[in-house]
Order: sequence, then C-alpha cells, then structure tokens
Amino acid sequence: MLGILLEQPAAATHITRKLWKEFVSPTPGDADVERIARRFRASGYDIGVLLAELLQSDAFWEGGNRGSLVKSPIDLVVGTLRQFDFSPADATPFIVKTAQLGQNLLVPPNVKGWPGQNDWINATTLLERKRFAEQLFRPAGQAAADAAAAPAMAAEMAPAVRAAQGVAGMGFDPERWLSQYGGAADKVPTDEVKVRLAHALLALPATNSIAEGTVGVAYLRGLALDPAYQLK
Amino acid sequence: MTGLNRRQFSALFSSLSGAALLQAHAPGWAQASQLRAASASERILVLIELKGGNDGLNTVVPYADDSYYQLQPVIGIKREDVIKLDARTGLHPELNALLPLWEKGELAIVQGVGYPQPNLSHFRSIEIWQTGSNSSEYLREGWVARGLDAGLSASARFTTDGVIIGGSDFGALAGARAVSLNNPEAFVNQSRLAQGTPAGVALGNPALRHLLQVEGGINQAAAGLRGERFAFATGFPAGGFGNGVKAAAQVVASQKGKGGVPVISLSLGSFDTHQNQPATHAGLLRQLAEGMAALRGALTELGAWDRTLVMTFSEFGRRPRQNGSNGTDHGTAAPHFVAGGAVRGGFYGQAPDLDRLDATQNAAYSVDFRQLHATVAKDWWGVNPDIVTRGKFEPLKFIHI
Repeated sequence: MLGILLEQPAAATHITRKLWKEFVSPTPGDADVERIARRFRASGYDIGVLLAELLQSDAFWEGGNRGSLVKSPIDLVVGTLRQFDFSPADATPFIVKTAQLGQNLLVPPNVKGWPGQNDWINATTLLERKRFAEQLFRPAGQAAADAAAAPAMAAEMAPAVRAAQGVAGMGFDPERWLSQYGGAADKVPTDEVKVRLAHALLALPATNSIAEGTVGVAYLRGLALDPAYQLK
Repeated sequence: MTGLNRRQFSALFSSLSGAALLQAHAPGWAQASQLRAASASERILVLIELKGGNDGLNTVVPYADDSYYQLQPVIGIKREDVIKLDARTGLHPELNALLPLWEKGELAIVQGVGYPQPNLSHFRSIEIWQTGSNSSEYLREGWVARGLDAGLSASARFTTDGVIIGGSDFGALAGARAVSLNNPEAFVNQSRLAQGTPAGVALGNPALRHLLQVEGGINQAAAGLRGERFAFATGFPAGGFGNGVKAAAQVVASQKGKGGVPVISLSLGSFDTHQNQPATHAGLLRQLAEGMAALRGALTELGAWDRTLVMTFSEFGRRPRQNGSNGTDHGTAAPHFVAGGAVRGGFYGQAPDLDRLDATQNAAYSVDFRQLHATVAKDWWGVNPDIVTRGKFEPLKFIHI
C-alpha cells in the first residue's frame, strides 16, 4: 500500500510542501516545490536530501521569509529549553504546557494534524506563551524560593500548577549563559551584546524596545516577551 | 444576499443606495433588519455547554408516556416527582429554579434537537455543533465567529467579541476575536503581559500582523473589562458553574458605558453519565437551574435581561433505554433550553418518539440544531442566517420580534 502511495508524484510534492511550511514560509511556491519534490523523489525519498534542498534554497535565506512562521508549542517550549541550556529532570510539566498551548502531544485534532500557523495564536494561547517566558526568566531569588516550595506541594497540585512550578524551579544560570555573548547577569548589555542577543534569539527585529537600563535576565525576559519571539 | 463581504453588508445599512438595494430585493427583511440592527449590538448571547452529553429524556420528562417507564424502569423520574408543565411533559424536580422563568413565559424548551447522521463520539460531535457543520465536514471556524463576520462585529466597537469563561476551548467562537478568563480581574491582571502595540506596525508579515492583532485584542478587552466589581444583591450558587455565572454577570456589568461583549460562553459538566446516573444528573441539573436563575436575577439588576438570550447545547443526548449500570449511553436527539427577557416561552419542536427508535436504539431528531443558530442569526443579531448556518435552516419563533 505504501509502495502504491509513494509511486504517486503527488506524494513527494505533498511532503515537500509540508516541510516547506515547517521550515521556510507559509506560502510554498509551486515551481520551487516541484523542483525540490522531483529531486526528493529521485533520491528514493531520502529525507536528508529534501531537508538539504529546503535549507539551501533561496527562499529559505530570503529576508522576507525570516520570521514568517509561527512557532508551534513544541518549537516554543523545546526550542526555548534548548536555547538556554535547561535540562529539566522531568518533562511532564512541559508536556502539560504544550497541551495548554494547543498541542497535546501525539493527540492531534484529526488525521490532518494541527492546522498551525495563525491557529496557534489566540488571546488565550498568546498569554500562556508569554507566561511561559515570564516564568523562565523570573528574578533569581524568586526562582530558588519557588523551587524550594515546589516539592512539598507537588503531590496535591493540579497539572497546570505543577507545570508552572516545574518551569520556575529549573534554575537557569544567567551568568554563564550571558557570558557566551559577552554579557552579564547584573549588567546592562552593550549595543554589541544587544545585537548578538537579538541575533541569537529573534528571527525578526524586536517589535517593542526594551527600557534603557534593563540588566541581564530582565533584558532576556524582554526579548522573550516580544511578539517576534513567537516567530521562526 | 450571497457573495457579500462584511463591508458590503454593513454598507447596506449605512448608505442610501444600500438601503434602496435591500428595499428593492428583500423589502420585508430590509425593514425588519433595520429595526434589529439598531439594537443587535447591545444584545448578549450566553451559551451554556452541557459537557458530556446531557440525558434529555430525564431532563424534560414525558411522564405520561408509558414507553418512558418501560425504557427507564429504575432511573426514570417518578411521575409524582416530575414538575408538570402540561398534560404530557414536565421537568426533572431539580430544575425547580427554572419554574419561575417558565411561568413568566421567558423559557423556551426546544425538543428533539439533533442532526442527520449523528456522530456518537464526544470530540467529533461537539465539534460538529460548535462549527455548525454537517456530520462529515471538518470546519475550523465556530458558528458564532461566522455570525460575527456576517455583520455583528462590524455593528459596534465591542470590548471583545466573546468571553469564554471557565475553559480555554474557543468552541463556537473559534476564529473570533475572543478572550478566555475565569474572572475579569484575573484577566486584566494577566493582560499586562501583552504590551501595547507600537504605532506603524501594520507592516510586517502576516504572522506578525496576526500576533499584533491578537495582542491588541487582549489590550482592548482588558481596558474594557477593567473596573470596580458590581455588588449584586442576587446570590450565586456555590461551585464552579455558579462562579462562572457570577463572572459572566460581572462582565456584563463592566460594560456600562463601554463597547459591550456580545457573546459569553459558560460550561457545566460532566453529563456523561454512563453509570449511577440519578444522583450525578440531579446535582448537575440543580446547578444548571440555580445558575440560570441567578443569571436572570443579576442581569435584571443590570437592566440587561431583556437583551440577553441564554441557550444550552450539548454534543448529544443519551440512549432512551437505561443500561446495566443505572446509567445511559451516548444518544442523539435531546431538548435544549432558551431563556431570556425577549424569549417567547413554551414548547418548540417535538418530543422524540420513543416507539420509533432507530437501528442503534436512538431517537430521531425533529429540530436540526442549526435551526437554533439560524434563529439567533436572524432574530437576535439581524444578520443573514444562511451565512451562519452555511445553508438554509428554518428558524424557530422563540424570540419576540
């Protein structure tokens, strides 16, 4: 059965389109898709070949396509955890979080999967996404206090509350992380550091400006709370 | 009226040529619509989702039908306990708090509500009801969102198009500019995370524009919902649903002198009573009735009851024959309540024929749920019902117009 499906040229086109919308832009160009799909099919459906084609395409590098895709809840949660070198012992709170954001892992709404893009963002999910970022970049003292309080209450807590605690109790090392970019937790970032941070964290220029005099972690919080942080 | 976009539709009411066009082609509707459109923007629709599939047969009870007692020998409501509304039909005793509404003529009971080729899965069937689709279609937008797009949204500068209370699923409001909250204060507090949108950011790609639009919507909602809590004399029942009703009343109260919120969504459950139904069902119906009565009381204090329509819905009813666990399984047609100061009370539709069950031992429907949507669209919002229901469905006459 699978063999019959894969013999259809449309199979390669379909997969190419899907991955285009995952990595490149929301609007795949027909000519580009055809070209890449043909090579994908010729390679015997080698996903590596497809990805290489996509990530080396002009469209991928085109400025206008930067930040044109909305991060899925997985992109946001896992991406953020990886970016800042968090390594939580328990993934449960984050699985709950992505479900709160509309992506209940392994349970898509129907066989077509999640519609994604703008559908990820409504008033509820956008506030939840921002709350996630806010919890991650809480002031250091508060994070420690929350972590201390968490274990005692964990058993009774509803999953949503546990998710919040899980995030807050993870312990982020701002000094070490910021120093990679020449910054420091208690210092206002220089213009050069600001450029590096924006480059590392945002696919688009920030929409809002962060107040003068904002230091280290608070500055990161500002970037993570910017609308641009929701885009890839 | 097909093929008009929202702006063209609004233009029909605002321009002389538009009015003339309407007058020429649909004079009766034109006149009625103009009257309705004037106050449509002040009207409120409160949707109450009965989550899990409410057992309609034990809610609106055909106490004079012997078949009912043959199908429900143990869990059926005893004749002497039923609140009798007429010679054949009555209410579950725990719906006592709804009796004053019935006696004032403010409660409509629509019987036998369902749809063709019913789906008996919770997830799929509630999706069908909320998107107002056919049984085999998958739509993304909710039926209320279509109503907003058909002209309701354009008729006013609403604080927000909808408020979903006690849940985060947009349901019938999917695709609309709505917010979810547990109470207005908590929402206003959380909204600080949505910064103001700087001027001149109409530029940017569609995804960014959507993000900024949603942020703007949050800020606008928070600004409109902000304010002192109204001190209601009405008492609200304890529990989650009572809290939801209180929050809904606070939302309405906060809109004095503001843009208004046309749609509020509440939910109560779980009605999925596969086993030991009597006690659970009784408790839920009592919450429903007391909550609706409290809503009436609070909205009357605000002078808003006459412009509020309350409507229940559920993914399905339940099987007429009780199961082996003193409960009922997923079914089809069921009655629903419509209440409000402008409602023409009474019975609508037909009670399911318990002697004519289908192959799955379920009752046939007599009213398509989209007829209720059509009624709301046409008589409550003054918009083209065909846009909302995506086809023609005969409205019912439960709204005084």
